[in-house]
Amino acid sequence: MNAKYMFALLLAALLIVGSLFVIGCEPEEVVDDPVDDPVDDPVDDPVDDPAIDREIVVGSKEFTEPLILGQLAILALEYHGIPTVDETGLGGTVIAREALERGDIDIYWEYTGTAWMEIFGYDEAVTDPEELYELVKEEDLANGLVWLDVTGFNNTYTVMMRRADAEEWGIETISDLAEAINTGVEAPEPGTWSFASGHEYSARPDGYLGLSELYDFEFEELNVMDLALTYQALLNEQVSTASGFATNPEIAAYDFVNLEDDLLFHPPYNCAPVVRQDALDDLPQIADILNPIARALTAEEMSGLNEKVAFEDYEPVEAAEEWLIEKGFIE
Amino acid sequence: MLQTLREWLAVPLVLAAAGAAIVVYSVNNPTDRLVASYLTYGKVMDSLSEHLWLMLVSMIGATVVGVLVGIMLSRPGLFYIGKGVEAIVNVGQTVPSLAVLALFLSVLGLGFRTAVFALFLYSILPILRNTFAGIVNVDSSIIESARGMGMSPFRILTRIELPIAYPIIASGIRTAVVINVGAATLATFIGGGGIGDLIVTGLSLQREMIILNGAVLAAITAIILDYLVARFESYLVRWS
Amino acid sequence: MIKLENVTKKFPGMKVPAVKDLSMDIKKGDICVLVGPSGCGKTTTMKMINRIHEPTSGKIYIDGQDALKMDPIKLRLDIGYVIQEIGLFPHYTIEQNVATVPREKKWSREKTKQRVDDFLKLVGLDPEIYANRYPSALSGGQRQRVGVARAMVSDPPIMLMDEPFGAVDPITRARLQNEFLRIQERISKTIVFVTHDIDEAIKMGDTIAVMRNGELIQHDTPSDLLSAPADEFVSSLVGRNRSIKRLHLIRIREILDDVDRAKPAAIDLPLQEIEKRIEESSIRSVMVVDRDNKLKGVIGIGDLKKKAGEVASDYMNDLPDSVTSDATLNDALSVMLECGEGYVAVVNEEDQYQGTITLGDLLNVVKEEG
Repeated sequence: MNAKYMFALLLAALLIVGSLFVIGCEPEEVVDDPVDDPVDDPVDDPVDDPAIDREIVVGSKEFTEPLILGQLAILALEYHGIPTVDETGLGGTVIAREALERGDIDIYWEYTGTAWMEIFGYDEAVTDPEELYELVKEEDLANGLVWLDVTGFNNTYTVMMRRADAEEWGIETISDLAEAINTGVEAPEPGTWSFASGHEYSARPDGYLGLSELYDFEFEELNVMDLALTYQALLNEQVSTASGFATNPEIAAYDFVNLEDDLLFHPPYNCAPVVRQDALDDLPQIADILNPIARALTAEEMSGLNEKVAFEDYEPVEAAEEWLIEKGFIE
Repeated sequence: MLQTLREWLAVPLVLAAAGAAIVVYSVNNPTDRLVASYLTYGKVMDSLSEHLWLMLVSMIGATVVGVLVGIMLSRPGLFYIGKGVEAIVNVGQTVPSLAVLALFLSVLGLGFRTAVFALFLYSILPILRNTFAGIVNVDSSIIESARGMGMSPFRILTRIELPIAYPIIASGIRTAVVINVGAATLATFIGGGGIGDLIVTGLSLQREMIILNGAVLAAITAIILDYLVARFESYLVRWS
Repeated sequence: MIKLENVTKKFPGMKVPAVKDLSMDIKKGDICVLVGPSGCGKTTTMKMINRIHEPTSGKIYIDGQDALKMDPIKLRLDIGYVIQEIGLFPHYTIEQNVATVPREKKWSREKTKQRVDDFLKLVGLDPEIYANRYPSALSGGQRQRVGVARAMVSDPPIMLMDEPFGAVDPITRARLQNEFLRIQERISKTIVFVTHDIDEAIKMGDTIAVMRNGELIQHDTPSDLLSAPADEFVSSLVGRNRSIKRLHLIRIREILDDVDRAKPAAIDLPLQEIEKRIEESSIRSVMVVDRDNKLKGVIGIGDLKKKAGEVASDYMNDLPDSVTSDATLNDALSVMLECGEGYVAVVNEEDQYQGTITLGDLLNVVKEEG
């Protein structure tokens, strides 16, 4: 009997450990060294009538926000008479980036933080958004890729509150929040300074652990749950604050505010169109078309766009078109 | 008596010791700073005790309600309703446990209580079904001879039907326990805590050591509970 | 003792009533056998007596009291109940099974234990061996015995038995029937006995009630039923070979005085004496008994040729089977056919030699009765 049970245990342990290795060992994303992948010499491309002959292939990663951004670019370029090919929805970072480097696409939107950590492979975080933008822009110039103007939104980790509470308590920044907690101000619903967080954020030194150290405060209650549910926890007043991503559609839909990361703790994930140098040489007006759009995309605007697709059944192209018209970029 | 106690506890104790050894080793030999900062005795004990509470509360509730409702549905007047409920329950069983959690999330909100309630509902299914099936499948000749000898319906239930159905009810409880241990690891998704905290955090941090601790604790809990329930079951059933 | 008056039972959803306007009287101490093809309403009739089924209309009196106005639980506690499937409780030991009704009646532990042991002995199961076993450890015949003991243990004046010996092989059935009749002689219960087997009905019944399509066709003694069947249906039910069926009605002990009671040979009887006895015997064989008159074996005329020794035990063969004196002549005939011999030895309950019955004896009986 005992032997049988021990055997069962052993088997169970083996199975569990085995399956965990399978889960744990997802293939690491391999980033090709850009230097090994030389860009075609753009000078060789004959250009007769740039405005007519050159097609711009627009790509994007395959989740809501990049899909919308891709459509924004396509619609704006087409509006200005530049023929485009829609190659949006290219999977993850690696696929989109490789397509751009190979010249399969001419343009896609990338995040500064992603480029810095995943594409260039730096470990040390740069937490000043502008500094980071300059760094990645600089680095990619050598690869024949141009980062156009960066968006006004920063799709990084955020600490959120319900807008009404934030206004009533006069909390705009994370420092304000830390002060309120540390001075013993009574918390909004549910009455404790509680924090809904995803698992990863709750346990990382560059997540909540580092945040509380830098701002010198601690929540009374840390509620760990699935990443996607923190918004709902905040909405249902089960916590007074929650972590999330700054441009997620729920922020617009549930009327939350992102507290400003005034000490620049979270690594920035601003977004910018990255264009192949050869395409920009052929059609320099691309920069003039896309730059104002990027600058107009604040976190709130982006969250609103995301909300339309996530909650209101818009196709990315419909949301993009409506927004461009509303903002006067196209007619 | 001492002998029996030793027999009952030997396997659970060996398993618990093995689990403890893995936890002690991991806490003292973390693979990196991230593991060291997360995997502490306090965190492991919190997760384990939350897990056991989740299970205990939901299982006690599910056993009491499942058996009572199973008995009610097995009464002659409600038999066809019982058949219907059995069918619904069989379908309900196929709903993934995460979906059950999600369902009650929208009604009851996040946290421990929702997790307990979802686990409770999920664990009721096998207990209710087995209680119902166990009772209605008692050979009708046995019931008839009991009636014919002048036993009241209540006496037939308590002296004949329940004891005979007991092994089936117990195996329903066993199934529920095993489902429960597994499903309880999902409570972490809705802020219910438990061993799932370790597993999911370990997965999102990509730290095998944290995952391993969580998985081993969950597995050991499941095996110990299954063992004890099986032991208890065969302890009561000496016939057949 | 039991009186049914215009009893009708119609099950919900059924067009035809299961029992139609049935009236009958069952005398105290009688075994009344309800017989008929399946679906004739015999079991339903029986089950209305202890109100497992409630009659749709009509009256049932037990000992002059209106059974339908009594508390059904109390009513059933005083009616023994055996069904074909027996319905032993698998989670109870034999002792606990038999003690079911005493426990419901809240008898003292000592009294219960005593009665359970007595009744286990009565049905031929040694309590020392069987009391603590579970039903799953028993053979079919043993379970039937436990079922009967369980029904009788609280000494109810009435017993209802629904094909109680239906689920065992024919030889075990005959033995159980004989044992039960022997017990009944001692306890004389009023018994309602359901069977579809007319032979069993003739053997067991003091009266037989033949039913068809929910109606009572004829209620008579077995003898009257055989000699004067009420209609075509009854006569086809009892069949053509009524003379042979009469063998069911006669116990061996009833004819034992009239047959050749060839003296048995003691186990140490000298050879010479044995030869003499065999020659005198009509069956050319002699039974061998020990000092207590217990049947030990048989010596046929051929066995003597062996010249094996001086006394009877040297020549003795085992007997394949024997019958008890309370078995019917039909049982005796079965054993003869089974063993392929023209005779069968008769013993009493203690296995003591009572005599020998031959095929010729049976023939004489059939001739006389016919």
